[in-house]
Amino acid sequence: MTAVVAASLREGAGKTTVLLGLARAAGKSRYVKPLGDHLVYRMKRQWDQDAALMNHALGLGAEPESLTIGFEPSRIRYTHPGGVDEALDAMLMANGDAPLFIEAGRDLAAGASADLDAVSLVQKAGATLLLVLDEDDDRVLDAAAFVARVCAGKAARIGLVVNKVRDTADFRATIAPQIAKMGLALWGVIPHEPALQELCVATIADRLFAKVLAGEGALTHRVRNILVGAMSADAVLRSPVMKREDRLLITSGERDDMLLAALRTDCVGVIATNNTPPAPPVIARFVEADIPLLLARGDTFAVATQVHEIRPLLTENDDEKIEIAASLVAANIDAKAILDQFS
Amino acid sequence: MVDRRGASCRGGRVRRARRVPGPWHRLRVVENADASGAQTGSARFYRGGSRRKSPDAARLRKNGIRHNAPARRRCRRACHEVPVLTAARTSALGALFAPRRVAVVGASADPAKIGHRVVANILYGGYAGEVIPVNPRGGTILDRPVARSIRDVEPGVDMIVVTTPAGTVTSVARECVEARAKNLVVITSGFSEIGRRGEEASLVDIARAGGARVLGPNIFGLYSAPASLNATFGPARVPKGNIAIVSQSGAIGIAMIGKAASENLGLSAIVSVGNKADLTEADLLEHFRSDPTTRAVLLYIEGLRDGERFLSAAAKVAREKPIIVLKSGWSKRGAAAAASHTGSLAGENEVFDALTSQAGILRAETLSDAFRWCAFLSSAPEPREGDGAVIVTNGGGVGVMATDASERHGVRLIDDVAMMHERFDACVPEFGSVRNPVDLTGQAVAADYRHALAAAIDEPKISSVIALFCETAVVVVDELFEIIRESNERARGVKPIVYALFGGHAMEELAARLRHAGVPAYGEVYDAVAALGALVRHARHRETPARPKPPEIDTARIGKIVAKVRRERRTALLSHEAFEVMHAIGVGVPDSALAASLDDALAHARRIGYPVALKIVSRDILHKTDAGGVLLNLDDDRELVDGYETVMHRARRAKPGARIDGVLVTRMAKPGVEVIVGARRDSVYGPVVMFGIGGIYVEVMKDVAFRGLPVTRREAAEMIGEIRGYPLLLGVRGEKRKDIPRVIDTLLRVAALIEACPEVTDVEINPIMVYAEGEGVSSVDARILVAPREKSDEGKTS
Repeated sequence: MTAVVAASLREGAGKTTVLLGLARAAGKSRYVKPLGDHLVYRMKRQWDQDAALMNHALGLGAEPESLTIGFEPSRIRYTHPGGVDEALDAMLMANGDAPLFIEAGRDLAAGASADLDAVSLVQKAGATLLLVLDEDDDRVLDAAAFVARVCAGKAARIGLVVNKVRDTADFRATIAPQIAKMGLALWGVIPHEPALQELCVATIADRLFAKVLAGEGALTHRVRNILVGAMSADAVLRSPVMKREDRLLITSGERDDMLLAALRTDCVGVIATNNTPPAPPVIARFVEADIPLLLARGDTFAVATQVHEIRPLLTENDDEKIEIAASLVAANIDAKAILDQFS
Repeated sequence: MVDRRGASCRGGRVRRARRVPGPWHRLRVVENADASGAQTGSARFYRGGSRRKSPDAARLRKNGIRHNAPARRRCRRACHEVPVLTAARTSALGALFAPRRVAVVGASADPAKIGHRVVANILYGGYAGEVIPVNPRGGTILDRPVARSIRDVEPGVDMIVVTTPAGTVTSVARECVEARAKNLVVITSGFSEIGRRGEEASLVDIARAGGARVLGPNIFGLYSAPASLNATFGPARVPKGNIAIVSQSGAIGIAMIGKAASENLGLSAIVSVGNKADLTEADLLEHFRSDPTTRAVLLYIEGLRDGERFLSAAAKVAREKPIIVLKSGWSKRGAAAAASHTGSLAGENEVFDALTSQAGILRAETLSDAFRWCAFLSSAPEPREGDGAVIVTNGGGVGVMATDASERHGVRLIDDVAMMHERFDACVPEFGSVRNPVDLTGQAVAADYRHALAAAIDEPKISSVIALFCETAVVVVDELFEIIRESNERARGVKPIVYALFGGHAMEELAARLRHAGVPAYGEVYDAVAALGALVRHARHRETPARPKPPEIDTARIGKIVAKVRRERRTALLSHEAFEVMHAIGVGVPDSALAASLDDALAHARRIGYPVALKIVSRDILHKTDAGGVLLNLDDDRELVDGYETVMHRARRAKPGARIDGVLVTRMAKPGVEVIVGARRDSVYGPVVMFGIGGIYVEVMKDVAFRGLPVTRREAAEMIGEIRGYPLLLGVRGEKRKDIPRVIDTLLRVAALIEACPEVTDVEINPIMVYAEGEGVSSVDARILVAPREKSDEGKTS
């Protein structure tokens, strides 16, 4: 069996995006994520959001629950008192011998107490380690050197893909040669793509556990700009952010003036904070306009902070972003070099 | 003879000597005092303890100020001549409403100045006490000699009206205190209403340190009918009567004087409270309660500072005299305007409405309503024992309108058909109706009305009468005037009767004539019934039983939990702690246990029995639901394992680094009607309890009722009956009636909790599942907040 384990030193580096592009390039392929980290719990079922995405994007036809062993090491240790080897073997062997892409946990150490960390997965699967780094981490060379040292001899091969690079030419000219000196293969440099950093209103509603008071049909709207409405409605209308497209407004629920200003200026959504529902006529206007109006419990600062901290993950419902991601990866990585591992 | 302690005895009186601060420091003031120490007369001045004429008497004379002795004589004479002054001084504010000596600091000879107008109003208003204008320029004002400084005035002035600019007021106050003033009436504006809170606080500190009270600042003054004292810059003539008006707004207060005159309404007092830096509506209500002249109190309020004290005072007064309130600032913009106007918070309108109603205060929406109610309630007898009101009319349409209005204003209509036939058959034509409303028909002549009204007034089963008159060709206005006046006399002291006259110019004139004659006659049916409704509500409040003993709760157990929470510098109780408090107050909660691990959770769930709910317990996660930390209806071990992992995972995601205390495993409560019970310490009104339809849409539905503490069982029942969702508790679609007595019990226990534990600031039990009658309730979730631990609490055990 030949497999690639995608790992990263921190969450949000782009493992799922890179694996999506690679798997698409490989044609028929398999995917598992033994340690989940984006838990979705619905109707008493739990699965990983990335697993659901890959299941959909690659047409795996599996139950998303079957692609993950667990999320919390304590629970995994409890349900697998004898270790996870048996469950992991079954997972890795399932569905034939197509190229297998394994996604590790949020960082190198995640899952180590349950033997589901990236290095353990590489060893158990006899896999190539594909380290995904993002350039935001200005210590990309440190990271590369560290991985080379720690993983030496444990992986059949180690390669790097650097994601979200603002200036790929400069990166290739300055950083890439130093990575090569470390004996690490640089399999791709993926440019920053703003479209992949956008949130949709549904994701925000989901992550805030917000009540949707209006505009359920428009929850897929993308959010490109966010404005916190703490000033007067007149000041909001004059704000340059209000001139930009796809705005989300965050304001206190009792600010009817602000909410009506949002309606006038075609915001893609509004979050009413402080658990204060707007006046019924205002809600009715949002229903008529089919603009999402979310009711969040926290105060405006807390909600704005929460929204700021939401990572723009790819979701199975966002086919447009899936295609952008797949194309972006395919165009900027050396898929052949990686897929040669399977031959 | 002065003894070593500075006191001497003569003729059974104690004469106390004390040092006088300020320029009089070398002098000693000896007050005439009785054995109890109460001051009984004016003061005399001595130097070095020997009796001697005041050295400043000559200077005062030179400056055109009368010598103290004549002033004292005048004062004594005034008191002797106006015994009502002494009678009115029975309350703590007696010296304010019946002062023997009044000074006006900032008095002016310029008729355009407020300082002149106040002096003129006092002098021309018939005040019999001593009046002392004060102005550094001296001279005379309206033929009265002017003191150059309050320091030049014999100490012990009962009331000093201050009209000097804001910047001088604190220094004036200091001088007034040195002069042993008892009350400062500060007309001057420019204090907290424009943000100068520090200066206002200093003014009060200075006054209180000297034992004086402050009315104002930012007011138009005070009028007291018993003292014939018009210390305002408003109209010179104020009609005397038995209505006391307290206004937060100067302009509205002055306008009210004019309105009272035009409505033929007499006032016992009108007081402007302005910024309420010291004296508030509560102090004034307490005074009016014991004031024999006042029979009703009208308040104009924009905002309250100490709502709890206000409501407590109002509840006591309303058991004796009607209080009518006109409150503005209930809209968002209005509240903001009120806050900037008087520097006080308006509070939530719904809460104000509920709490004032509970205190027996009658809230009028318009000034006209307020005056009409005042006039009616101050003169009408309360509804006697009886089954309800009767409507007598000559028009079916207005009869229907009166019926509608009666329902809206809580006036119960009598429904005794047999009695109605017996009483009214003789005066109702065959095509009329003796059912309530009694329809005399359009053919009714004056004699029919005379008989019908006499019958209604004489019938003991009828508690009140609503008499309606539509203008018809057969009604002679002059005859009607006599009939109405006659029936009003017949009803005087027996039962309340209101009249509504419906028609053209003649009827409007007739109504005005009747009102002038003191008859409660109105041009609108709704106005007449609203006035009667106000009287009925007032009477009902007077009958409200005294508060029974609150339910017993385990305060020691609660105290330990609260102390632990505060020691750990938390302000929110964790779920299991809140459940423990629920146990301590006797409110049922589902069986539950805190699990520190998955093993624990499984063990607890198996003991409690499936299905169970899981709730994350973390001091760093206040809103569990928003962190995805609550899962319901877990039916077996497998679901519990998944659920446990889910809530832990979500909690870590929602708040990385949060301290997680465990997971609460709770038996799932069976479905019922979901209600919410809460309590909080409101910043304006003090402790308040809340009841409403609960669940996750409580904020959206806003179907809640409020009451202040203490709350009686009857009031708790009224709260439950007030909400729109009440029919759900009565049982709908064939469901059984729900266990309302247990809901009432829960409300009273939560009220007892917030009343008995001052550290507890907020309680919210939501949802409480209410089951069928006899099956009780189950409190599924509780949130309790406590006041943060102060630095001064350091080292204390709690």
